[in-house]
Amino acid sequence: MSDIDPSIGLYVEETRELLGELERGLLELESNPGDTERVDACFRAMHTIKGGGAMFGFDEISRFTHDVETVLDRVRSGELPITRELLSLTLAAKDHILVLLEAPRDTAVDELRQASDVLLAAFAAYLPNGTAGHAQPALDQPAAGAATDDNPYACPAQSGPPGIYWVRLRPSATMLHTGNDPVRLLAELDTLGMVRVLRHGPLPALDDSDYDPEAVYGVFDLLVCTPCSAESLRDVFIFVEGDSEVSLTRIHTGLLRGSDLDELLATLVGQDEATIDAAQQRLEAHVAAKVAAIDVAKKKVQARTGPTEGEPAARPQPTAAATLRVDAGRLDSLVSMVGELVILQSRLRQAAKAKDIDAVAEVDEDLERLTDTLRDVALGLRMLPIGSVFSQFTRLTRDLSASLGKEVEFVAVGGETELDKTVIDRMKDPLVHLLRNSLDHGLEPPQERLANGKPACGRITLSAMHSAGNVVIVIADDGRGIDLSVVRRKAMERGLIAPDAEPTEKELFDCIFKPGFSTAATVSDVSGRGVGMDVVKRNIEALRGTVELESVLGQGARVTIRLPLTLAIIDGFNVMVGGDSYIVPLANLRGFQERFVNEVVRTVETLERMGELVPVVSLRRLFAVPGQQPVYERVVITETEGETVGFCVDRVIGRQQAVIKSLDDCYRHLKWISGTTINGDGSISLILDVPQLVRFVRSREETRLQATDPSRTLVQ
Amino acid sequence: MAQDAQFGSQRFLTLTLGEELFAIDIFSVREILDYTDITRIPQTPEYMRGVVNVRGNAVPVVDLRMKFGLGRVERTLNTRIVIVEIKKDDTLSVMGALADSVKEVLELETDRIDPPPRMGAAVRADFIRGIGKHGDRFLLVLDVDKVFSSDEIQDLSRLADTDAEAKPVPQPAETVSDEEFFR
Repeated sequence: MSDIDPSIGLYVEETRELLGELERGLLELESNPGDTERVDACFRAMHTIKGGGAMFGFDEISRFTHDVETVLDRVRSGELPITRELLSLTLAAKDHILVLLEAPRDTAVDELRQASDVLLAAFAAYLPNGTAGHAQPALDQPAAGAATDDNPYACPAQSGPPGIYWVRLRPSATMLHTGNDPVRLLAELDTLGMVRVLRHGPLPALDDSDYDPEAVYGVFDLLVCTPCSAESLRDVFIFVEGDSEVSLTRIHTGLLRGSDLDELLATLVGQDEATIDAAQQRLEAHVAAKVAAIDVAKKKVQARTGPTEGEPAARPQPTAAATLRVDAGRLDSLVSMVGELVILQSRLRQAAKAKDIDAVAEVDEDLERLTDTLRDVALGLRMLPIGSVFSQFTRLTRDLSASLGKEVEFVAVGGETELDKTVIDRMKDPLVHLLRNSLDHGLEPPQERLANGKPACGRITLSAMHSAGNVVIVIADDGRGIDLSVVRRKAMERGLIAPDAEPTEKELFDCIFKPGFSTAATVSDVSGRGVGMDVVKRNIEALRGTVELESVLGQGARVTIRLPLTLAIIDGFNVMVGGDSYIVPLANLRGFQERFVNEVVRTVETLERMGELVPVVSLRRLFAVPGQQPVYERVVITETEGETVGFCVDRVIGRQQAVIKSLDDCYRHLKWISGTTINGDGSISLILDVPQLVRFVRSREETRLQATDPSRTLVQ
Repeated sequence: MAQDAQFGSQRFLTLTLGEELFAIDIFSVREILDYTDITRIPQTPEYMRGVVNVRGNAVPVVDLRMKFGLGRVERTLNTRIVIVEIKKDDTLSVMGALADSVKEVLELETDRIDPPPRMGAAVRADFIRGIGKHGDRFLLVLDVDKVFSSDEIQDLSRLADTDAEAKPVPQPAETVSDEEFFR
């Protein structure tokens, strides 16, 4: 898609957005069918897609969308009621348009066209008169329903399938003298059916001396697809038959698409002098080939769509959009700030020239303020409301619940919450997974729910909100919840916990995130294979987020995901250990304490904090920092996943905004480093990933303690 | 470059590691930096000296001497960090090589580069592309892509793990010599 016209790229991008809007609109219509504004919006989206499709050469989209638009127009004018079936069909149409949009042009065209025709046939039932309007389906049998009872063409209705006729008109040169006009003939023919015309044969240049403006030159080859009889076609030529040569042959019984007719006509180019028989043979051979190709493509489509054509089998993965829509207001403020920056620069130059240190200090102050806002606005450009993803989930739950035979009400709250685009893109898969889990394992079938005194319709809530520099996403369902005794048994079977251990609830929930863990008795096609929750957790942690699971047996489960607002910058405290400089993210920081050391330091010790003993880790020992152990140390108290852990450092430098630079791939095994940042003096600090660091310390301690004293653990 | 290798001559940057003279293809070299403070990354093998700031990016630095078992590069006036570009699974990645000194850029006739000896060279044979002669000195032509994409550098996890198992509690005493560098 890189080497195409940029305006086409724009169309593709715009259509993708329109399709997203359309989907949202349709889903809302499902819950609120009376919303006429929504219908209007859907219609407008369809209309824009169609118009653009024709303009940018997506003919198939334009052809396909035409009938869908007609149906929506009827809904809009109140002729058609909104039904679930119609919405399902329109959603399927939306998916199909997306397929058409993403399909590489020229490939597998026939197959896609057949898929269009299958859908169009379904839409035909909603069209006025039940015919497929302008878009002629290529199905050999008349379109579903009574196709011919109201004929749009000006001829007596004919029983039986329509036919394709080949007309060769070799007008006499003096045709115009007798008051006839080939153009009129064509116009009349046009009222009888779909007509494609090829004019060929010699045509002298307009300024030739022997050019006679009153003569008719050349040969007309016409293909007419019409339900009318051959006689009514012949009637058109009744006045010219005497002096012009007219031949009329039925070459095919059944319908063909306009574009197919064009192709067939193209085979006649240059055949203007050929005899009727030769040309007819040629044409018939091509018709046979075309029909065979259509049959093959049709079989392919039917095999893929299957007999029940409700849910598209393989919905294409939407490709991540490389462009981003930005609120114009944000861009404006960015531009005005750049203007301010230019002014500041000239002020700085003047102050530097005059060696006026006070003025320089002033500029510095202004610059600091400007940089701060500039940073916020620039990061804001990448922020998108998470609602765009939520609407996809509405669709997902709708389709899934139907296939699982469960009733579910899906509620999405806080769609306007903004998140970094990268985070949103990368959260999609984990959220899909969690939703599937809720639907498949969490919610009970309606009978079971009723038996338990719950409403038959289950409820899944997806909410997003801001909370203390994080975005919190919660997925909650009111299903059967997680049976901890089953979790415990499975965990023991898999050796995740010791047989005699008394794990806490939290530890059991943690097991669910271990690789390969699944409590599902049966594996369904939706979930249950035990791959997933560990991947979900990993994905979320890769975004520097956390995930927690809570559940009450019989009442439902709830997954809470916390994500940082952006991936590019974090707020943190810079701390020093010997010559090493580390950044502790503010999100994990709970406070500072101090300690005096006078004997040998162990890597992990304990310290009293607010009446409780918390484990403290000597970073100096852990990281083997060279240098002398100081007597006085600062302790950075952090909290992660409900655990409080202190880290001993030599000095606390102060709060710092760290622009995250990722570390080279060769350090990828160091999970507890989430990146590096360049300080003002050009030195480099390592940004600590506190949850990973705690995990790392714990695993290290466990290996060490197993060798020595098994009674002591890091936490508790 | 591939064509150059078959006929004609190629340009190399020569550098020293201890007593040995090495050459690397000039096309792999992005720039040469004076020694700056290297930020140590804990729990990595000693020859991974850490990262340096190259115009806002943290670039890993490998002590080639240690990597080849020729002792350790100490900081002197001549110490340089050669920033090289290496191909790693189709992506270009940037690494720094710590060298005792960088000498000159010289041209070597391709046919004057002999295949590496089976044994007896200061460095593992698969890191060497060949042996060239310049004046009366021999130089080892390094295969930069191989040196820097070797498992010991690109897959530190294994080494670090075995390291951790061998001594679960780090021994600060072992790395005391680092101190000089970070003061």
